Amino acid sequence: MRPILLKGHERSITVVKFNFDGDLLFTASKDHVPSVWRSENGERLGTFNGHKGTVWDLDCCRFSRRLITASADASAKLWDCETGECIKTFTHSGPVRGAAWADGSNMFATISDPFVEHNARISVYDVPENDDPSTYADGPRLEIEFPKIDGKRVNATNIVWLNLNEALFVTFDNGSIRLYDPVTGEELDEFFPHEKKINRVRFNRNKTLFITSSADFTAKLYDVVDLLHLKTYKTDRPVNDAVISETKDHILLGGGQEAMSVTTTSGKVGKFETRFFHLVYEEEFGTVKGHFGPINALDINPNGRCYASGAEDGYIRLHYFDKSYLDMKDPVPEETVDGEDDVDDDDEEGKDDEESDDESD
Amino acid sequence: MAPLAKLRWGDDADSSDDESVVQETTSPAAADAALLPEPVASPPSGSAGGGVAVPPTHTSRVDSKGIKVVTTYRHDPANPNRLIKTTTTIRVSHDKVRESVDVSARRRWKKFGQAAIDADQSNVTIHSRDDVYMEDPHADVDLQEEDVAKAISGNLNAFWAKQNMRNLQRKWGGGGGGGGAGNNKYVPPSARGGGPSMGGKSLAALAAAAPGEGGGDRRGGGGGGGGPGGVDRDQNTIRVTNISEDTTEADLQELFQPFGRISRVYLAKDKETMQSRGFAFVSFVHREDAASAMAKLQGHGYDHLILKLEWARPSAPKDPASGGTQFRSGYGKALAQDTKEKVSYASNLTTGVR
Repeated sequence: MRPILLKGHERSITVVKFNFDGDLLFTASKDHVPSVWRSENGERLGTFNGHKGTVWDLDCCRFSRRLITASADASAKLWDCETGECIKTFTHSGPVRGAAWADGSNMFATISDPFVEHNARISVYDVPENDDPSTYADGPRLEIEFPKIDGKRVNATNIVWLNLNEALFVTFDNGSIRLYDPVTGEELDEFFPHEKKINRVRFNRNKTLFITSSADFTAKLYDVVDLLHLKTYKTDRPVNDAVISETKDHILLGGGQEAMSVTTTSGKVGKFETRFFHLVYEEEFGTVKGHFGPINALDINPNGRCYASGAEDGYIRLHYFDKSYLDMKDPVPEETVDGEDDVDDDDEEGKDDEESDDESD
Repeated sequence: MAPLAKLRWGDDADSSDDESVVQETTSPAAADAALLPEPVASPPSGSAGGGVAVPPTHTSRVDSKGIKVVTTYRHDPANPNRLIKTTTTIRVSHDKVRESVDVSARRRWKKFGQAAIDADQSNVTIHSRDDVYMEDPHADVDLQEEDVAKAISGNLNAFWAKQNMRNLQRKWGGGGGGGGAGNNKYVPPSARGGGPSMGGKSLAALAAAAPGEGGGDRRGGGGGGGGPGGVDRDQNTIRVTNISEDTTEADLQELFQPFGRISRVYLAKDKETMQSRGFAFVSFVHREDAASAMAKLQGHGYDHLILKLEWARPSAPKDPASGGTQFRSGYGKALAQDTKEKVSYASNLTTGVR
C-alpha cells in the first residue's frame, strides 16, 4: 500500500478519529489547530481555528454535524463541522483532556486536569441540537470532582459515554477506570485493569467491547456489559493507542518509546510501527512501518478499508489496505507440536486405561 | 499489430482492480513493431512538413469484456516520414458503491479554514510513492541485528581466547627472550607440553579457554625477538585500503583466498564501535601470491568502493634492547613501556598486538 501523508500539522499528533460514516478524518495536534480531511483522497477539508493551546481530544457527533474539541487552553469548543465556525466556547477550570458526545448528540462531557486549587473533574454540558446555540448555558449541568487520593491528584485521561448514556466511563493515569452516573454524579464502579497510566480507551462501534492502551506495555480487551477482562495484547513498549477493527477480528496497536527518549534511539530500533494483532488469538501477525516517532493516535475506518496513524513526528499517514489484507483469511496460529503430542498422549492414555479396565474385568 | 494489443492485454488480464485500469503499450519494442511503412495507406495530400499525415485518434467501442482500444498516431521524431502507432488498451469497469445520503451531502461541503485560504494543497496531502508492506513481525527482520550481535560476540570470544593464549605464553613461555619474569621459572619448550607436571590448575583452566594447543610451540618457532618469520610476513603483506565499512575479515579472506595461502587477515576496527576503519592487512605465505593478488585486485571494485592495494611498510626496526617487547599498549612511545621486565602486563589491548 502507498500511504497518503497528511502534513497539515506542525506538531505532534494527539488524536485521529474517523467519523461514523468513515468519510471524514478528524485530527488534532499540539499545534492548536484541529483539521478535518476527506478520507478517500486525503484532501484537507478544513481547519478549526481558534484554540490557543494543545488540542488533546476531539469528538465528532454521530451525524458529523458538530465537533467538540478539548484543549489545554482550558476550554472546550463546539464547532460546526460544515463551516468550521466555532459555535460556543466552554471555559474550564484547567486544561481539558478529553471530550465525548453522549448518544443522541444533545449533550457532551469533558474531563479537565487539575489546575492550581482546582481538582480534576468531569463536566457535563447540555447542547440540544435543535435549540438556538445562544441559549446554551455557559456552565456545566453537572460537575464531578475527583478528590485527591492520599494527597495526590489524579488525572483523568479519557472519557466515554456508555450505551444509552447509562454511565460515564473515565480512565485515569493510575491505571484505573471508574464509572459515574451522568445524572447524579455518583460513582458506580471502579476497577484497575492496568498498573500504569491508561493512555487511551477505544470502543468498538456498537460499544460492546473496549480496549485500553497503557504505559505498562499492554493493551487489554474488555467486555462492556460485565466489565470482564477478555484478552491482553503484550508488547515491548508503551502502548499509546489501540483500536478494534470493525470488519475483521483485528486489533491495531500503536506506540513507541516515550517521546523524551526518541532522540537517543534510531528509527530502526525505535519500534514506531503499527502492529496488527489478532483479536482472539492475541497473536501479532503484521507490522506497518513508516513513522519516525512513536505513534500517538490510531484509527481504523469503520468500513475497514483504511486506517490512519498520527505520530509524535507530526505526520498523519493514511493507509489504504492492499487487497491481500482485505481478502486475508484470519491467521490461525499453528498449534504447537508439543500441544498435539499432548493431545495424542492423552488419547492413548485414555485407551490404555480402558483396556486395562477391560482386562481387570 | 493487431495481436500486439491482445497479447499485451492477456498478460495482465488477471489484475482485478476495481478501478479502471489504464495500460499503455508503448514500450520501445511495441513502438518499433508499430512503425508503419513509409507511405501510409491513404495519405491525404497537402500534409505539412513533407511527411505523412497523422490519422485521427481512433477509439474502439467498449466490448463485452469492458475493454476498449485507443489507437493514436504520431510522427517518429527520428524520421519524419514515419508514423508511430500507439495502442492503448483500457479496461472500463464500473463499480457501484452504496453511499449514505449524508456522505454524498458532505461531498458538496466547501473547504474552510486554512484549507480554503491555501489554494495549493499539494504540500499538505502527499501521496507517497514508496510502497509500504505489512511485514511479518516474526520474520527474520531482527535476525540481522542478532547476527551482528552474534558476530561481535563471536569476535570477542575469539579475542578472549587469543588473549588467554597470550597470557599463557607470557606466563609460561616467557616470550622469546626467555628472561626470568617475576616469580615464574623458565620452562624449556620441550617441557611445556606436559601441563599437569606444572601443576597449574589455573593453567588447565586457561588452556581450556584457549582454542587449540597451548601455543607455546608456535611461539617458540618464530617469536624470538623479530625472527626471520616476522620479517617474511611483513614482506608478504598487502595493505588494502578503501574498504567499505561492511566488509568483514571473512569477506577479505574470501576475496584473497584464490591467490594463495593466506597467513593472516587483519581488519582495522575502531576500538569502541568495533566498526571497520576502512583498511586491512592481508599476509600471504608466499610473496608471489601476494604480488599476483596485488596485480589482480588493484583497483578492483568491491562493494561500491575501489580497492587500493599497496605493500605494507615494514614495521619500524625493533629496538634490540627491548627484545620481543613491542609497544604493547598500542599507544606507542607515548605510554611508558616497561622494558626491563620482559613481561609487560599491558591491558586494554586492541590493535597491533600479537
